Amino acid sequence: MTTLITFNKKKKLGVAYISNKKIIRKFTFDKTKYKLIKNESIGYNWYHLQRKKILKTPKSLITASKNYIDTPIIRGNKRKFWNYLEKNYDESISVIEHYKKIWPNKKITPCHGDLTFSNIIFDKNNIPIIVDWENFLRKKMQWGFDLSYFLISTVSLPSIFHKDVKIRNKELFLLEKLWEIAFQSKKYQYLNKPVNFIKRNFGRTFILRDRLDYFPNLLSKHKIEQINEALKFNL
Amino acid sequence: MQKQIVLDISKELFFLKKIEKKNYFYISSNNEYKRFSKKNSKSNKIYFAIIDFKKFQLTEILNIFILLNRNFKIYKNILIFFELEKEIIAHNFFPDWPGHYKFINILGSSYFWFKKFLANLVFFKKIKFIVIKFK
Repeated sequence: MTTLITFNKKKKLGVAYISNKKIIRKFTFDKTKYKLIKNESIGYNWYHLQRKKILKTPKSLITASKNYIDTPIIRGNKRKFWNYLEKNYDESISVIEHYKKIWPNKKITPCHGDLTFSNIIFDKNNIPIIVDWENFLRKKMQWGFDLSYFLISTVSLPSIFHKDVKIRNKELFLLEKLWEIAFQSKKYQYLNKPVNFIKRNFGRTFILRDRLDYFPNLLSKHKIEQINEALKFNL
Repeated sequence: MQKQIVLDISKELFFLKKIEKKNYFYISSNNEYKRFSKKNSKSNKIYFAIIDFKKFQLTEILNIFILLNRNFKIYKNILIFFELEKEIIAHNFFPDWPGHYKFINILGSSYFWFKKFLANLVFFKKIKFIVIKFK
């Protein structure tokens, strides 16, 4: 049996679950999108090698070609990205801890490029497994870029989804708490105005995609100011 | 949704790298019924049949299914393609069991399975193509 989970008409990229082989196949037949499959393969390998080294997880085997990549099925659950941070708070903490464990503690590190709840599966022990590496950048981004992108997404995506005019104060308070856990004692220039920094990186970390698929581009000026203001303490 | 997209997706889903026109059926009109005769297609291996759902009545689709079933060895669990606003999705008439990829109990699995099964009826108007895989 087969399930085509999605085939994005704009991206021309599909994801299918092949149940008899217990694999997930990501594919494209558009030559201009082969780079995404290549990135996916490099990113997936990098991440699972790190997991094997650090978390001692078994090796994850993949089969890749220029137009598809087959990865073993990951059994787990996803959190809804449109849920307010209040509901996703504990999972956000596990993502921060996971990032700190997996990513090397260097100034310049590899980068996932689109780390949001949509691309994280939680296993039965609530340990995150990051998927969807098509925007992977190897050794090109400052430490914590993905983490800041993820944390900002936890308040931005629900507010965009629910069409809120502004981000709720409670959400900003929780974000501030998470930000402190993530970036305590870190002094990076980009933490000055993180939303603006992330926004500027569209096209570098988020490739071959529409401008409006990148959530920071959907944030109003007011919301950007709200988030930047809430995260000012780091300075 | 165009036929070519469904053809390309089907090739990926069924692990078929190179496939020629003679290796699949594309059924979009009643005249193409003729192609189903076993005699004509004996020499060529047929992998699947794509049926343009919008061009037939439900009874005609059933007729095609029965005809194919009589002349060929087919998988009965047909693949249904839905066209949504930004994406295309597809699943079997009897969908995959959610317990195989989610951590949920049998009750939860049954609930999700039933929901997906009901989508065949709820999104009936969004069905664009049906693919029948041959054994």
